[in-house]
Amino acid sequence: MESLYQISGLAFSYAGHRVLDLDELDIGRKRVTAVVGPNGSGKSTLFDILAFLRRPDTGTILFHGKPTAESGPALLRRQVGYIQQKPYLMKMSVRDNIGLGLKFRGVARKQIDTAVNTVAGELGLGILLERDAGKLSGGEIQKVALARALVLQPEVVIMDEPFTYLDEATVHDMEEWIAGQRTSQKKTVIFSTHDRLRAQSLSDDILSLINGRLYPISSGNLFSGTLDADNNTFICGIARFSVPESVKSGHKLYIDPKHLVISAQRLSSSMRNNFFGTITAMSAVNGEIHLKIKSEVTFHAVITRTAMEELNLQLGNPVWVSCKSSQITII
Amino acid sequence: MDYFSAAFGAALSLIFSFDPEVYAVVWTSLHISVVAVTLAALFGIPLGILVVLREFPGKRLLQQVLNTLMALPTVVVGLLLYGLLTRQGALGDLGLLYTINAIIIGQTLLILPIIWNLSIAAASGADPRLLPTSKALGASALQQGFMYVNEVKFALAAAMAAGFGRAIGEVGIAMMLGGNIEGFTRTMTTAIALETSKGEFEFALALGVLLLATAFLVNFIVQYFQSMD
Repeated sequence: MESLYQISGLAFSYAGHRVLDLDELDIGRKRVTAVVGPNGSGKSTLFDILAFLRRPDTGTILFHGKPTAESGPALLRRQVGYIQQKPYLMKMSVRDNIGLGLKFRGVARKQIDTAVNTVAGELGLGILLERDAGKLSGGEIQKVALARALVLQPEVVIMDEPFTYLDEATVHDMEEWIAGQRTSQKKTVIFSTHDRLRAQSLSDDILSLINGRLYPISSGNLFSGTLDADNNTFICGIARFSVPESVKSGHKLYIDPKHLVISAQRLSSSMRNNFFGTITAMSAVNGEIHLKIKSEVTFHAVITRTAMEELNLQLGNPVWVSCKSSQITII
Repeated sequence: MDYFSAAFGAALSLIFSFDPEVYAVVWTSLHISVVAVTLAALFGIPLGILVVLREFPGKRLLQQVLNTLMALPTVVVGLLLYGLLTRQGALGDLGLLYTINAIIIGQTLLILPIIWNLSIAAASGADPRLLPTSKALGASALQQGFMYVNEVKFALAAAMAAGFGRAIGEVGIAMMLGGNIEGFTRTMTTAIALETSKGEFEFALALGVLLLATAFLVNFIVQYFQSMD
């Protein structure tokens, strides 16, 4: 894998609080990378650093194999298309917003218009071009922000929570766009999401960021809660997990989706964690079946196609979700 | 009351007959104040945006000083500049005392803190995503500044209108640095003071009505711009 970003020893603190602490991180060129993590895990800060809007306190970043410290941030920024979580459109027309980055680069008006028309056409924004940007819906704003980034033909497109606050149709459009980039392998795309299932289905690589640190977790079940070490129990809302006796501290619980056992009836086994729920989403990813099961918490499970067929699983089916205490990790 | 009514009628007559003497004074006032506002805005707006964009030691102190200077007495500005521009002063050789340019300099210094401070308030009110968005789109430092001007242009226009209102209505600087020379440095405010003392109440009242109308217009413009933002 050819790396676009190679990061080592990166740390960033805000108001004396360490919000990012990354030992090593490589992000592949022309690949789609998803960054998954809860709120406050440092995703936006990481993206600000990747977009060269912030400088880390320590550490090195190689971009295209060259140390970024040697280049001015303005030059580096021009190679990145960054769409923030709640994109801001300037108080001007949609056309002027999309062409703004080109205007900053001193491109002639005629060329800007041509480029804007092309990108707007590709994203279905043609009819909005002359509208006042202040009168757009959330979904339209997100698309205009994407167009504004794409018109610059950046090497990498960074999207912070591109599916949040959007209607279903726009979410679908954004997913289609990311999936298209993954297939065409023309751009590097980095996006963040809370939804591990979506991350799994849309990306080549997944980074899991928790409390500013990367964890080697491809996708999974991560729940915040309180550990009752005396009773070997982790309490997450109304859900209670039995955890290994050796665990003494931590406030997040992780279960690998492949370690969850799905059954139609409650299992009479040594597994001490059993939850009754309903299947709310099913998708096939790389030959495996990904399930979302709504219970006292929402579980993500990965099973084989054979298991699905044997259990005759369908959307809306009631199922039991079980796992051993030893397969629970407390972070 | 009869005296006031008669004077008011005569004043309106001077206004609507487009008395050249009255309008010469009005023109002088407008000329001085417009140039002063333009100069103060040329410095005050970029400085205001710079204060918002940059962190530096003494930033809070600077804003406190600007707050204080917003209420700067006009006679103090007049006095200090008189000391500099008078023949014995450090800038006496420039021959600026008792000229329109002297009044412009004085009024510019008077309203610079107003426009500067209100520009800080205007730029601070911009959406916090404006700066990172501009940077992410590759804007240079100057282009970032222009984006602020574009985003808060109505608030900046209101700041300029507030500065204009202060300039057009001040009397201390115009009197001390302009000398109230008829047909040359006489402004609405200095003419009102002089004509009243001479007993030419109608003339003074005509100028007073026009000054009041200007103040109303400026206030209307300020409120209009504030409502646009």
